[in-house]
Amino acid sequence: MAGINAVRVGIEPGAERLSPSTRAPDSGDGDVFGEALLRAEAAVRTPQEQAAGAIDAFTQGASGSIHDTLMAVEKADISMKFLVTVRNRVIEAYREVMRMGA
Amino acid sequence: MNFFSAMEVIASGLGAERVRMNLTASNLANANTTRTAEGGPYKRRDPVFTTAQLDPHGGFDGPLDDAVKLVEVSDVVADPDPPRREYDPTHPDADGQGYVAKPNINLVEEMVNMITASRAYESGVTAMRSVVEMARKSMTLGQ
Repeated sequence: MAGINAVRVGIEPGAERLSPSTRAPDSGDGDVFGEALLRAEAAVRTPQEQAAGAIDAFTQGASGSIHDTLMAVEKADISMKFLVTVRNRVIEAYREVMRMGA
Repeated sequence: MNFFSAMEVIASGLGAERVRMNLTASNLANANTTRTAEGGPYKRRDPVFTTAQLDPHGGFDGPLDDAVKLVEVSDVVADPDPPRREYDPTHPDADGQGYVAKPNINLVEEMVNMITASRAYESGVTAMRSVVEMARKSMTLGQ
């Protein structure tokens, strides 16, 4: 029951509470949906940056390794797909909770 | 040990095969080189592959990382076989008896090495593709 209350506290004040600029991700105020999304986004950022760095290194001739570059791109792609899957699940769970009152 | 460690292991294998291909290219290009910086004809080069430790990723199956090894090129060695002696008195590098010391390179052997490296690279690419495919498949669990 405490879990559901925490969810309600997070949702009721409105959608702007989900944006990272209006609140800290670890404020512990029970905004579980926003936090889940922010955590998943942070997990994707590193592979994205590494892929961008690998592409830069390859196109500028600093690295001659095609497979390392493409591996970095592939890692970024997999983690991005992971983020999208997690995001879809989180949104789905959010909608599920919103339907409870109807 | 995760999907990415399999990818890193395969990538190390691809890198090693690429080095082997580069050395084969060098051997083929220098099959008739009679002068080198260290003196004498070019000597055939071969890579030496060694296992290397994968960076531990931690996690509950972290100890399994020990079992997974990367491959790295630890050394490049020159073939100790003596140079091929060819009779060609007009060659500028011919010795007193008219023989030229040619590189100890056998074209057939180099072609076989080239095909081996290229097939090994292909198998690495196939393995990489199937790792990516596994990762994509596991993503469908969440849909």
